[in-house]
Amino acid sequence: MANTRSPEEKNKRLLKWAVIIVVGMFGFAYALVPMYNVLCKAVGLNGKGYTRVDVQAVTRVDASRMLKVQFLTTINSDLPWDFKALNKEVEVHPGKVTKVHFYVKNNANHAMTVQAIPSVSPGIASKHLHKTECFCFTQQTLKAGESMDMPMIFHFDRELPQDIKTITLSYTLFDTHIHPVENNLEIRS
Amino acid sequence: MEFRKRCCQRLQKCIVGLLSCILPSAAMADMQLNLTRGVTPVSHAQYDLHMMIFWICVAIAVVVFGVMFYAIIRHRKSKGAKPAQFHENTTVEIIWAVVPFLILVVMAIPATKALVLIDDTENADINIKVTGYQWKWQYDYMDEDIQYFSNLSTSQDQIANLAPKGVHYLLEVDHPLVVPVNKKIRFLVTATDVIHSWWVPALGIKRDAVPGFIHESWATIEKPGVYRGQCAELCGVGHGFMPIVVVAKTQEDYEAWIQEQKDQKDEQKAAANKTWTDTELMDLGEKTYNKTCAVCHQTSGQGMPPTFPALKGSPIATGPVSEHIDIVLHGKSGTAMQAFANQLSDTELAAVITYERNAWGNDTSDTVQPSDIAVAKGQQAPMPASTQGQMEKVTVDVDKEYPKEELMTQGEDKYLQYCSVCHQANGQGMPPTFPALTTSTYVNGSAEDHIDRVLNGVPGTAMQAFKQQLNPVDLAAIVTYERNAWNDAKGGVVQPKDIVSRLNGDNKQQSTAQGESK
Amino acid sequence: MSAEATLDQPKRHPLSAWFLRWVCSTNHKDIGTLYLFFSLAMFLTGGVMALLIRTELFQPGMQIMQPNTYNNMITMHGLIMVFGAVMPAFVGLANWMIPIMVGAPDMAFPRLNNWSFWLLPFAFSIMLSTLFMQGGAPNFGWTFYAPLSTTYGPPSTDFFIIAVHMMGVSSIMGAVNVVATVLNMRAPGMTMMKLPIFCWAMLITAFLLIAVMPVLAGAVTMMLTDRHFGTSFFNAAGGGDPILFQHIFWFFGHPEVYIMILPAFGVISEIIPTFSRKKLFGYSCMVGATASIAILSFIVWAHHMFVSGIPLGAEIFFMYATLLIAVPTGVKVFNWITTMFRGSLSFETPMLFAIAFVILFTIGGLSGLMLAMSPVDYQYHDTYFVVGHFHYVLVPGAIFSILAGVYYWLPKWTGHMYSETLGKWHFWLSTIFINVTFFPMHFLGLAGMPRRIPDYALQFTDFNMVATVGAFGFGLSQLLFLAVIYKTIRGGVPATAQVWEGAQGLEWTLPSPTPHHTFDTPPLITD
Repeated sequence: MANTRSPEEKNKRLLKWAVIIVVGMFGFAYALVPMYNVLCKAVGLNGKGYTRVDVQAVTRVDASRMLKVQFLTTINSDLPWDFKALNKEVEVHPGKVTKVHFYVKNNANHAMTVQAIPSVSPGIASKHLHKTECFCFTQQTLKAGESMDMPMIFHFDRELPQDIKTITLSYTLFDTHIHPVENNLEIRS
Repeated sequence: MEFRKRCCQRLQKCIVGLLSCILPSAAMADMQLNLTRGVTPVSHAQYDLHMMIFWICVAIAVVVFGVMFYAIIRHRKSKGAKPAQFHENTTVEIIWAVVPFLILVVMAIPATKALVLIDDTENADINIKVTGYQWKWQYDYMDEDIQYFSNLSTSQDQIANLAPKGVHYLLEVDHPLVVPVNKKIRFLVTATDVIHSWWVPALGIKRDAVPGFIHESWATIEKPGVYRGQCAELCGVGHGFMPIVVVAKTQEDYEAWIQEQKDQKDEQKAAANKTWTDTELMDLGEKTYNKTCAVCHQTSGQGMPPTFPALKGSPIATGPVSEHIDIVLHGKSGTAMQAFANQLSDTELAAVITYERNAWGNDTSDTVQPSDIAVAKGQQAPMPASTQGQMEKVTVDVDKEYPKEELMTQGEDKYLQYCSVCHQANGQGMPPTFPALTTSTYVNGSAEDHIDRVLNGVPGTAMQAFKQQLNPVDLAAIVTYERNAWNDAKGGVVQPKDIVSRLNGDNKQQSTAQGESK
Repeated sequence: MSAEATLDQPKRHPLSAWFLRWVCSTNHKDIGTLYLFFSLAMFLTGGVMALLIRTELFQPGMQIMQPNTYNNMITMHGLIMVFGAVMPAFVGLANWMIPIMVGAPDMAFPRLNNWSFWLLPFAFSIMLSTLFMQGGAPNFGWTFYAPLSTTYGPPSTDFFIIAVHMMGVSSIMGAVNVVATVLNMRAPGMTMMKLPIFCWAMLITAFLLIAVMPVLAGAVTMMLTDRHFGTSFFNAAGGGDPILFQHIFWFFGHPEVYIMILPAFGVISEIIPTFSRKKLFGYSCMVGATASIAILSFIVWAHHMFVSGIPLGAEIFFMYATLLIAVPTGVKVFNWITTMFRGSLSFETPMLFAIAFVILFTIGGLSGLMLAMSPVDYQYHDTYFVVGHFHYVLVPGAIFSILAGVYYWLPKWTGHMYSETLGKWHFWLSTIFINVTFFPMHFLGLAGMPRRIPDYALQFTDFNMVATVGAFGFGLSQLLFLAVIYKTIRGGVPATAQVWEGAQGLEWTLPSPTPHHTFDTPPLITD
């Protein structure tokens, strides 16, 4: 162990490395965010794997299979909106482009902007879900008392695993305005 | 010898005494020591796996601790043991790395199979959406268009140790989830605020309910029965108070129940038009009274004067019917009497008034029919359908920021007028019925909860809803006053705006409720 | 250095002398002592909270506190015990022992050392002050899952975030010091494979700390920006995901579990050979096992999330990885037992605690094996079974190893032998009551009692009562420990340099009590 460096020098080098690792790991925590999203897309976790197609691609319908697609709507934390799936359940063949409708109404006495967050179960099915049009692509603003019919156009591709027969598409309506801490800081002092 | 024997006996008595005092109900209670076997294929798989690992663990423990205790007993210095010199043996090290590994492989195989079983939610007969709220569950029968909330039904008195606790203390709900046996039920679990976890041990299901996302689970229940569970993820103050009750029925009973649910809505409408007999009204009236009114007015109708007047022989209950209906529908402001127009159905209202007018020797022989209630409601609609309508009429400026002093002065005024009857001028209340505000978690906690309490009251208690009685400025003043008076001035200021924003939040619930009854 | 120099100046006001000695100290022994006393204070604070929790749970119904206060208590109890009691205690032991074990004059960065200690009292003052704040203290459990801690957290959450940051900085600096001391400050001739096993354990722990504390810091920073600066890391409304929080938290959290137990392995591996009068069996395997546990701890985090809806493939992977940890852990237990086997055992208090550690930690490890089985974890998760499990690994695990270490090294630190009688009483009462407290929790969990509930159904009453009685017994027996420490510091039978007949290593060549400055000239290690 012929090491010529003095302990002080070695300590300094080590300190430098430690700082690099610490900063790196702090950054790694942030890197976990995009990594997680990539992973979610890859395995369809939480239904984040669907693809958005701008122009309707020509799809071949697999008439030998029938899928049951259910639609669920949830309103998050006391949002004063009505939100319903007008088609609660549809039966489609893989590859068949389908349009379904949702109904929303803003019951508040002022305009509000909401965002629908999609979720798919089983998650893996979302990898084979293609949406041409969805109200969840953008935020939706409605005036006080206004209601709206929101369409959603989608299809599942033919590569959908054979064992999947029922798929649930869930949409949760969130108020985009609620900034978390406003809950607590409503009291101004 | 004698002495020792006596000591032994005394010790024995002590232990038995101690045990019987620690374990008062040990003999009678069915103390469950092990995992439940449950009533679904998943729970059976879990149980079998659990027992397998348990015995493997016991076997490992016996071997390891056996060797250890052998060494502790035989190789002690006090027995003249001389230390051996070995301190390394690669063969041995490899063996005791490989053997546990093989045991793990043996354990992992059935575990993987069980996981695959749990994951297979396909081909379900029934789909139920389970939504976690702070702090209740909502069940939505997706195939039947039936949805309802399931709340804890244990009374606050039991929790506060003011009443004896029932057998199913904290594990009982007002509307249990009803499902058929031998059908594959698929549960879709989500939440609307924080993360909850829907857990029914007998079904072998525990699924986190995550806001925005949906997760699946399934069960095929083998035996009819009542299966209880609880929320398993810390979700705030009410985490311990949102149980789950699943009632599994035979297919016929289940279908009957579904029919019953569907009929119920129609019935409610029909009931309002039907003419009820005296006995029917008195029966329903007694039930409703005991559930809703007896907290304050007592089952005996004697009340707790002076705060809660006796109904027995009271001028209201024995005087003109219209006044009686009026006070029950709209409450009496400035007192603890709340408005029940929106809390009970017309039929229940009619029944409870009939009951009050004929029970305890109030023999007025008056009968109030649901139609009478409808008429009374129609005559003086207590409230425009939307609160916004009313707010626009109010001339107060809700958008203005009021200075704290102004709110405090106005708040004190209104507090003394509306709140001090029960909560007392010094905020000390009259516990246990009227909680002290000085130490209340609502008053000292988040402003939102506080506002909601004042706006909506607490059903089943004397705390009434004030949103229709006061305008937003008064409400803001009272809340501000309550948060700053008596102890410290640290509660912050609540502006009318905040009240309005909570009113709007509340408005939604009303509209959904209306949507359901359609 | 300057602070130490002033010590020799005789004429100073006693108060300023005290201030310079303790507050400005850069001496590893003084800082070690400070850490240990701080940890003791936190242990007692957290313990009082535990007793309040157990009092509330003595009977069904709400008795002494509101549900929100109960949630404050469980949150604070967890945070204080993890970050305030266990971690600083090990850093304290490391500070005291590592330099005299490796023959170094002090830690590598003495001033950093001072700073890393003095951050802690401030961090915990901030943390504890939240109890008195408007809206109450944090009430979301020590795991602070979003959105309960972000959107729904009380205003005091921001103070909690700052406190976590401060203790994180403190831990990281402490860890850097340990790494530098062990790697660079060893006496000539002390190769890595001659390093006392406790130093190895602390070295590996320090690496874990450096790797994961920044991740925790990242998690709380994201919380902070989510709460105040409009980001949506964990808020589904803005495209975030609450489950992501759990991934990040447990990526820190699982290594954190080993941060609390690896040093315990080190302490026990020092004590068992001494009282068996036999060398530690399989030294290199022990080092390897510790390192592999540390590495594996990075790929098992999602076993805390089996019911949170992770995909089947992930469940299987994390189940296998978790089961795998049993192998190196098993190796350690087998090696301890083999060290005892055919030794010449005597049972002084440190050895008693060490033996209890091996038995009770193994029980906790076996229940951990059960928990690792993902399908059954659907039943165990978030129940008292889990509470029983982790208290078995942390109380008779981490805490017992700290107690064992204190009894083992107390004569070296103070120069006096502790009272063996009191020590044995302390041991037996603690051991009995720990089992009375935590064993029934397994039954409660299996019978279906969720954790973190302030009130429970009637069928859980009996075991809860037993657990409460046990908790008070355990809490009160710790008063004996205070008495032992007080008496030993004040006086007692003088200790020899070697103290224990079978003790081996550099630290036992120093006189007892150890002089304030040791190994100014490094010793030469020959064997």
